[in-house]
Amino acid sequence: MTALHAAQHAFDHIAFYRKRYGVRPQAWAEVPFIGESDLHLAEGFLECVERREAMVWAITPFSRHGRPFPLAPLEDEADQEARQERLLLALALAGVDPQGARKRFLLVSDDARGPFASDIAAGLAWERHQASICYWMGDPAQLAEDVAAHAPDFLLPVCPSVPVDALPGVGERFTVIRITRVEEENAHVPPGTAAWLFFDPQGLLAACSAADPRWRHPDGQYLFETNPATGLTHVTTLRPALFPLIRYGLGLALVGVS
Amino acid sequence: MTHDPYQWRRGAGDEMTLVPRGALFAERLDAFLRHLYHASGHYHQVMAERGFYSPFSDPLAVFDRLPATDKSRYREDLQAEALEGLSGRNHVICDHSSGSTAACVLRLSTPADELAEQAVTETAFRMAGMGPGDHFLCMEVGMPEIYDFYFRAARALGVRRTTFLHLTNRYGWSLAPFKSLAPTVVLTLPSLLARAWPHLESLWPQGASPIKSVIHMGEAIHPELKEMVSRGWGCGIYSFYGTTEVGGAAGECVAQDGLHFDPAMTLLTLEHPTPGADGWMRGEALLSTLHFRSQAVLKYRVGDVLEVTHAPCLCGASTPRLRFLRRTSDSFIITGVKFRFEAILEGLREVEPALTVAALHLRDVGEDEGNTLLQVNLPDRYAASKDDFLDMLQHGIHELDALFRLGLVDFELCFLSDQDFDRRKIRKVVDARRHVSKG
Repeated sequence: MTALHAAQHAFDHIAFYRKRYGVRPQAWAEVPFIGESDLHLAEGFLECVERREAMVWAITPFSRHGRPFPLAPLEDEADQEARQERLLLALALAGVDPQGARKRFLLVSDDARGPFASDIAAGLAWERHQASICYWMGDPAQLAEDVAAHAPDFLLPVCPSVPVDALPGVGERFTVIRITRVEEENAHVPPGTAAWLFFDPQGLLAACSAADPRWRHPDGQYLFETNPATGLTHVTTLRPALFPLIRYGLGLALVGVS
Repeated sequence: MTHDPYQWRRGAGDEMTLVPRGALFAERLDAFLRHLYHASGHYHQVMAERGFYSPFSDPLAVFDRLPATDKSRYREDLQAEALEGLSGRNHVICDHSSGSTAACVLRLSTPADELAEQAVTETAFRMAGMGPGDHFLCMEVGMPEIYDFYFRAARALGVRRTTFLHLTNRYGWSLAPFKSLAPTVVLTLPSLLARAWPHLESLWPQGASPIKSVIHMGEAIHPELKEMVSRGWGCGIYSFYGTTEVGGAAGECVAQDGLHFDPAMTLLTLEHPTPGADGWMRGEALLSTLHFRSQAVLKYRVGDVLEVTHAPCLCGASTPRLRFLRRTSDSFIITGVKFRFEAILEGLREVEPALTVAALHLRDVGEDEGNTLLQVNLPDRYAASKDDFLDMLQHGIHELDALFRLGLVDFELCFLSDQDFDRRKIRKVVDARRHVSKG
């Protein structure tokens, strides 16, 4: 669907967008750029979804102690399939051949990011990869022992403080995929590193390869634009979504996305 | 003379509830009933229909007269109410209710509900001997978020090393890290342990593994498997009982004579109670979650027949104990996921609405064949719909579709004449897998 159709559909079916727009937009230029402060108009997440009965999941926040997005973002099955499609692209960009042998992934989490890491692991498991999780408790020797035991092909440090670069075998026996977040306002990764970019209300948003730092996402899922008034990046979900985002602000100027 | 802190209380119907004595419990029950009265349209109506209006003069008498809650009410009313109640929040925790119906059923909760369940879990883990210095490893084919929750309970007991080992349909390959990880406490599902054991039993000399405790959940463990693992690893085997809807409820102690539960959190009612041996009472379990606020349940019919006693335990704990006896419905388990026969039939009826009979046979097959083969026997008049039935089994039944996708089950359709169905008096579920419990 076009961005205008997405906005019109949201106005027709979702209380929040009806309140926010006031009148049904007839042209894309009439659709306002919005952000999290606009969500005060919604009395709850049920005012942001079209069919509550279709809900099958709520996207897990980065930290179980709180999330920046003011409402729990609900998903239906189509949303989950779209998120999995983004993961498949992210895996391909990390060099995983979808037809090739299954890989061993090891996620390194901590107590606060455990549910978030679990969500990533569930997506990897769906593609029949092994997705185990160990927990960073501040002990580099224990971490090295865990990594050696699992002998992963890919290591995903979900917890930002994990000292992965000091691990024996990094870049040789296993590849590190960086986990980064729009909310960190620092969605940049070291050159030559594959990375996955997360956004609280969407989960995995985009990914980049080690060879190309531009953020990529599956065709037809998102429209990214720059708000000329602020210079910040806004996103529109182009496919039908339970909790659609229409010109919703990421809160930063995301470099390398189109 | 010792004071017994619990007593059986007979309800209005043919049921008995084991309740703590004293005013403190009555206050707790009153708070729970008032919460349901105000937060749940369903329970408000149930109470009002019986002439009960908050505030309650005698909460125990109110509880006695309230009816059981079944799975359809959970799916159709309580989930929708929970969604309404949580709508203003920015963090909602979802759990899939396992195999209750052909469709997805969720339990929705808040961090506070999670902490209440964590308290129960900590008690169960402590009874299984978990503590500082342990390496706690959970192994499963999916649902890592459940185990992440268990790791939090373990950390509250001082455990510093926790691992989720993801099992795939290639058990040997995915268990390769196990020996190097050398855990001391292992939590898993008996049906997974049955498949994993051939790859684990010879990692260490008999009885000399680093593992001191195996905690199993989700299903009963086959006695032979329990004996093999206990002897092979030289460890204790502890059961942890619960369901998605009521959470973890009871844990086994070193005395190994029933699972302890706290009626001030999970109140247990037995329907159609009959006395068993040694003073244990037996009946169908109805559970009430006094420790939950979101999607809490009152006298929820979990589908299990239990035995219960409040006689003193050799371990010294004063809480009552339960034993799992059997499921109330024809059902089977694949990798810990429970499937009721009726849920499978419900899915198959979407292909042929007139279908009334089926027979399910399960057996072990190799990893390349899907690990478990579910043979579905149907009347031959439906043979023309074979491809549609197969498509329904592979893609249309909640959670069965996921197991197929993950290579953990495959299907075979057989068509029998009506005479064959009649003559053989075919059982609904026949499970021929090795070391897989029927419950």
